[in-house]
Amino acid sequence: MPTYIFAVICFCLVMPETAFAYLDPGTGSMLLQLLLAGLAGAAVVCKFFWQQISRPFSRGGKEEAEGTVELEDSSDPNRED
Amino acid sequence: MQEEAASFRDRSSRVIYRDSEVFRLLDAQALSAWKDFSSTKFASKAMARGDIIQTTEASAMLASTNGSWAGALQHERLPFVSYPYEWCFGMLKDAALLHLELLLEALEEGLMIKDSSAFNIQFKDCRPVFIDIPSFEKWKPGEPWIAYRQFCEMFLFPLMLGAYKGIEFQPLLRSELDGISADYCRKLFSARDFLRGGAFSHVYLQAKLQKAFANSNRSVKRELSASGFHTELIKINVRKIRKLISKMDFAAADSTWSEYEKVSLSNDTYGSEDQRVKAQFIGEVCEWKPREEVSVLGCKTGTYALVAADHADRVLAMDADHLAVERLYQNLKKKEIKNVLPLVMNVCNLSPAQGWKGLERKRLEERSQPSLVLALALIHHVVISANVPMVQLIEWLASLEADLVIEFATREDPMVQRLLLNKEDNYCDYAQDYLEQTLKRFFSIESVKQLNGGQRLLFACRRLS
Repeated sequence: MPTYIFAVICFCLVMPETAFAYLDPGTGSMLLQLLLAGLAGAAVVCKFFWQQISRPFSRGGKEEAEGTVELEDSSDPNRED
Repeated sequence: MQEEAASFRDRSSRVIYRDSEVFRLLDAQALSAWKDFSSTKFASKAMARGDIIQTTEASAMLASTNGSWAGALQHERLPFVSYPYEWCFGMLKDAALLHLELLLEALEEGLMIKDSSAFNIQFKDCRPVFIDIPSFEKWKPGEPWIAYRQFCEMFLFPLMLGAYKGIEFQPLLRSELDGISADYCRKLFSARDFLRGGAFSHVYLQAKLQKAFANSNRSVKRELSASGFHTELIKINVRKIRKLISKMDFAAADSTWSEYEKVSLSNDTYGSEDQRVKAQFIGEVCEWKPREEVSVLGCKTGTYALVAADHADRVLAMDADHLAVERLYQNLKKKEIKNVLPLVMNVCNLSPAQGWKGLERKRLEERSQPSLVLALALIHHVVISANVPMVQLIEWLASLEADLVIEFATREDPMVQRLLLNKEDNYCDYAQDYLEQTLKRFFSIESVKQLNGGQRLLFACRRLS
């Protein structure tokens, strides 16, 4: 439970201010899976946040900041027959 | 050959019909996924258990296509296709649990279910069966449960609304074919509701996170993968949700018709002898000829649907009362009766054709071909409560091209008197003579039986060809 609360606080701190819900509500759902997994997800949470912190100093992060947008995988969770 | 109108979202495969057979055409990617899936022990075990639709390769089918497909499968044909907005709470719950069980088993063998649409599950022999084979594909290392959001929207949130708030999900799922969003569900929950199992994390937090990251232009999926996301995390979450759902029951205890058997015996509508006579009458009409499908309109808790089930291959038991249908479903499971499919359906507002181009989800009449319709204790509710003219009701029943057992409650009947108690009686068409006269336009009335001292009448009607 403490891990869960810590992770929730971390997420709240990095949450962007603005939002356009019509774009991709799936991203938040993917991140939530880390919180729900509790302790088992703690290591991944730490690594994920380390990536966020270190991103601006990395070459890739600078490129992204200058406008290079990574495209999402085309997998669509809403497919069904 | 005829293409299935609902089979368009996944470009990698297409469902088609030839005569009475069902095929699925696959592109190279889907064919490869099928090979991966069909080579696992999981696939053969799940098909043997009846959890996944029986499927075989049908390469010969490719000869009749235009050459753009790489493979073909043949699926067992289901006699009736139902939709999640026609299921009761217990049916959606069982469908959700089947989806999670299959996902856990698939993960053990390195497979993932790439989507979580409730339409990918059907009911056969009164139990859920998974029908969308191309949903199984190899799990890509580091990939999270992509379909988690869709699972919440189509299964978890509707079940939470039923279990925590006593809200029936059917009207919501009927209008929102892709399910109930986290944000919509959050708005329906009070602060106290967020203290219930899973509500804070799956509903509140998910809604907030979705909103917060909606304009993200980063590939979180790739970042999660790089952070070491592994299948154990998915399994932990799936097991938690399975535990959560398995404890859920619908919140409200009873409704008008869920206590039907007790009520009908206590309020003088019927005596037990009348019930026996009615059951015998229905049995006799069923035996006029072999019955592949019988539809019971306004089945309540299914007393007479079970009578029909003894004489027919399958019975569609429909009622607008969600809890009555729920009671029937639980009873069918308990008694292991397999040829009755309970459905939440209002005769005055049947499932329409809807979805993309109005073709994606079919109207009830298009999916059902009954040879006998039972309309028991129904017409006074349709004509008096819902104000549908008698002639229109009979014309619609005749359009089903089936024999008919119809019950008429006279104006001396206590239920009819109760319905008229606070209404202006302008129902001049609600009369026995007018009913008989209208029936005779389409049917031959073979026999009439009086119940409850003549206050109710049963008509056995043979459809004129």
